Amino acid sequence: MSALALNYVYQPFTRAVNTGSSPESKQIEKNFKTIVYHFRNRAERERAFSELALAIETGQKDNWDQYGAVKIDRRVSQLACRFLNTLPSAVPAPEVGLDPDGEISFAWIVSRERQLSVSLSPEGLLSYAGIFGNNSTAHGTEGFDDTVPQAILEAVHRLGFRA
Amino acid sequence: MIRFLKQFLRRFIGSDLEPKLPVVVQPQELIARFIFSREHFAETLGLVKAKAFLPNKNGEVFETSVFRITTLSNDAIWEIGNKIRTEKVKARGEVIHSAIQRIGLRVESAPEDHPRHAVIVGWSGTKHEMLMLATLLSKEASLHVAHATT
Repeated sequence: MSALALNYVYQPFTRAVNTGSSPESKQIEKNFKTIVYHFRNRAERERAFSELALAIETGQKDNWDQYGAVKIDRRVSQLACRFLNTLPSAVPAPEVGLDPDGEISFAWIVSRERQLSVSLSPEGLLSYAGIFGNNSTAHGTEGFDDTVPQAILEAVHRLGFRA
Repeated sequence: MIRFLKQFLRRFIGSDLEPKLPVVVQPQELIARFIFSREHFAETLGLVKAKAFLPNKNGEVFETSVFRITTLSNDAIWEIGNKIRTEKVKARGEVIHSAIQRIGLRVESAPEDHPRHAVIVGWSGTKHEMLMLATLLSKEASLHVAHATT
């Protein structure tokens, strides 16, 4: 008698590397990578929206951090949702949270030396600050008018995220 | 918050037990920020996130509540963190005062609530500058995570 051991993880390919050399094989590999990228990106976006929902729920009362934080303004919740929706798909989804002054924060963190924080105010102002290596920093304020300001996109790019 | 802290500290930590600390916080002193939210640190990166250091507005002044932990044992530090709130402290960020001074902030003792309580002050009024300073503090800070035994 013999036992049949089934692999519990579905393997779309039987080899780790596509060894096919035909143009069709290369095209299938390329399409598959695109699909995986989109699924991963979409999952990350959903995670960011879940964090935003949690932040909005947490910030409903004054002193939500027990250090004297300000409660969230209704206007900023809507703006934050629009900000996440307008982030280009090539930009990684940020970590979403709350600041003590009731603004919603978006953070991209690669390491201790490479991180960017962006905070959105109820008036639609985006304050940002980042460090990009040992001696390089940038900070400033930009308006949000349903497009992500170029300065912030460039700052995210400077972090050097790898897909 | 101050009233809440006072209630807990008076009940659990007798200020008479604490040794006298210099009124002026010395540059070599180690400063700790207690963290009660998992969103404020990244254990895998050994990072205290910038938002953990963002100040709260106390009247007209922005300040970040911290503790002076020089000479304290690890257990004694966690003990303070666990007594200032009903919830357990999840982590702490440690920074040397001289590093805080280097980036343009300073620590002032605020012993009304606890003999080791202090505040980071010197924050500018604009949000992006505060974010920048908090990010620089994040870069300087070392993360210590509280485990189940603490």
